[in-house]
Amino acid sequence: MKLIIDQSLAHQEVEITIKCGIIDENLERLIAQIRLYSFSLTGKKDGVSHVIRLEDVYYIESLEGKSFIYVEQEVYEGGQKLYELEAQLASSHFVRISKSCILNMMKLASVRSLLNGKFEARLTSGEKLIINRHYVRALKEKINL
Amino acid sequence: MSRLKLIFSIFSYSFTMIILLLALFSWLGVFSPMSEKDVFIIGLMLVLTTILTHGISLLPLERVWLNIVLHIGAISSVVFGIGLLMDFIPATPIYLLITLGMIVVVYLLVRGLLVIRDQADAKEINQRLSKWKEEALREKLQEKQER
Repeated sequence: MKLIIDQSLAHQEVEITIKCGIIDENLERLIAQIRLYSFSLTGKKDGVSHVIRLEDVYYIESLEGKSFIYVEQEVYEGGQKLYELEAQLASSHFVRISKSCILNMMKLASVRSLLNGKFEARLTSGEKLIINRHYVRALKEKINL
Repeated sequence: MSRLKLIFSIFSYSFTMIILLLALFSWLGVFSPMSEKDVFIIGLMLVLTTILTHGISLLPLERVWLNIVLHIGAISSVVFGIGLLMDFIPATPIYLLITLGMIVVVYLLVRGLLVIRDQADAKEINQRLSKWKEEALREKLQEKQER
């Protein structure tokens, strides 16, 4: 098997192409791992690592240099910095809404403007987060506005 | 870029309102007609107050009233500082009071305009959001079927 890595700043997104005659068991496992990387995050809780599906994540918050992954009932500690997660999730449904938070747009129920120039995001779980005005443009772009 | 756009919007709204108010006061005979120098002084005041108020907006202030008091305080210090130094505002209690009143009115009007703009943004996002979610779910479904 040949492994070719073409690293260049010209590439905006990580693209993996597998050329093969047939898909055997090993290759199937590798494809599953790649899919897992693309559609999941790893978070720790009580010292145990968990694979968290992206679609289950509500938002990711950074507190004191650590990132925390919020799903409906649980909170996991992420192993990466917020900016690393932001880069990894750039082509997904996640968008930065403040200096310390990345939101899964699929979990956003509605937004409302506040008197202090910020916005409030109401999630499908009923939880509320603050969107800084500075990030509203990125949010609008994410939903093709 | 969006920050610059916001600063420019605040400057434009404030400049328009100040010029309109001063023109009104001049028409009513309260102030003398504006000269070119006056327009430049107003421009300078607004550049400084816009930057200063934007700086205050970046502070992590939770209470709206504290934000408003700090903004009006900062604007007043710039306007009275420059206005009195450059003889733009006569140093009499009545003019100082009228100027303070103008600061409060223009500030609240600009803030009101920004709130209206934000509400329009929120409405636009909410209207688009459900449609975008439907599209995203459809795409995901298609991807799954292709696999």
